[in-house]
Amino acid sequence: MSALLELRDVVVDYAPHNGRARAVDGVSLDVAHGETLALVGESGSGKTSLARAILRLVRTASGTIRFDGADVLALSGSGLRQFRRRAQVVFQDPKASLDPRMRVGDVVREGIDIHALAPRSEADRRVERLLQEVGLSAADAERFPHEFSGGERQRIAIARALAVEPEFLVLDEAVSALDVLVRQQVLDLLASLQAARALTYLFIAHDLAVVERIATRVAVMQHGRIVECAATATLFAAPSSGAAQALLAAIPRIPW
Amino acid sequence: MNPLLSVEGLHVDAAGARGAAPRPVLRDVSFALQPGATVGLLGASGSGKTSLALAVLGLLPPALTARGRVFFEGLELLAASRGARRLLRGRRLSMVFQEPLTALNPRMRVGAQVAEVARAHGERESRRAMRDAVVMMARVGLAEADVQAYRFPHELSGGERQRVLIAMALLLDPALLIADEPTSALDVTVQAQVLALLRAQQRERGMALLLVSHDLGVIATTCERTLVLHDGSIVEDVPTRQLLAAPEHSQARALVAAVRPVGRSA
Repeated sequence: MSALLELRDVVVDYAPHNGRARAVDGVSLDVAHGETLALVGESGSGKTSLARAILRLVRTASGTIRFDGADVLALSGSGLRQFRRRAQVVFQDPKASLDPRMRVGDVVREGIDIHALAPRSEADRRVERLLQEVGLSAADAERFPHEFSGGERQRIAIARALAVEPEFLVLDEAVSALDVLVRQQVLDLLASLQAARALTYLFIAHDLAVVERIATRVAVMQHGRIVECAATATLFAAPSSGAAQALLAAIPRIPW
Repeated sequence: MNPLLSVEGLHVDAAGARGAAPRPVLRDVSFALQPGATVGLLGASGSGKTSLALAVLGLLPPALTARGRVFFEGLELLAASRGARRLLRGRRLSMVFQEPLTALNPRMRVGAQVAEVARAHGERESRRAMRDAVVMMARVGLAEADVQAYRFPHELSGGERQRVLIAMALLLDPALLIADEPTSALDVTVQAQVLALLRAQQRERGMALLLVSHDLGVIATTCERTLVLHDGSIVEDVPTRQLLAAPEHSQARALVAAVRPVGRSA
């Protein structure tokens, strides 16, 4: 099966006032249709920069990014708009990613309107179904983000991402800010949505314990490079890179 | 042996908005801590963990009121004057909070903030306070403490900032350290370092540690005993090993299951 996403030698540079910082240093990676690829690494290893480059939220200095065969870096106009619909993102902190002045229904609905995916009356019903699909109720459409708990807000962010019928979701530390119980509920939700909608996930995390529960494969990043990429069970059983070993060693060892 | 800390029938209520009835945050909480004990306080978000820590410290916000009794080294804290509590806080009873960036003053060099603890407790010689602060910062593993002491909080990493807060808490050799989610804002590798530091300091000083967390992984590697808080009540108070092997309360079972390795059942 061909890959949904193919990265070749992707480089991302930032230009701080005192020179140049290379955040992503030649990353090549494939993400297959329907899999969950976890991208792990310490803070500052380049995970988020790479994700943003894939979504074209930051400039890629060199390299190629192909999504479903198309050259993402060459997209413009309607092609780019279509790509933005198909590739969605859920950020770490829903408090920051949801507009506090918009009702939840409007938050979820905005993408449907922008991409003209449904007429007015149909859009309202779609929003209700989406809220129910992520475990909220249709009546929640009338409420504001601050009326929800952290876990519920993350469900809203997921509903917003799903509203435009994407195939690919970047989950950037999407469960890191949640407590362990709520985290498990959101992970369960993500797994059932993936099965129901044939979604492909790029799951970014610094915590390998979470990754073990959801990922098909794991790519380990360090200093802007992928230093190891393996099936989840393989990586946990026999990590070959120092970076993976350090991350595994950092999981609190519970004396069961 | 007399307990170091003894909480007896502690209730905390949140004032109701616009004449509504007060809402209970903690209900009839009782437990005791021996000198040198390591105890974890485990609970989900909203279970009342932080309110319990703040009540013991005498730092509850005005909207929350405490009833019951909290004895620390023989003194009943809820009835004690603010001055008496202030004399204890930072000297016998210290705390480390979750988010070091908000716990530190952004406009003050970190060394001066550590030294301020000694100054607040009567050290008149500012040079000596600063010297002691730098020594303590080095002891909690802050590299180049003599240089870092003159930096501002934003110039340090999250892990370094948390070490500054720990230095501040340990400066006057407290009998009890309360750490409220001290590693939740840190990345896992830094979390492991900070937990190791807390364990080492606790052992070295024979200090008691009350570690507040939603993550049993953090508590299980650090604490001999665990209190499970659910909806404002303590639902389990058992040795941590026993909690891992046979959690009784449904909430405790859920919290254990959340950290159990994949494919491994109870």
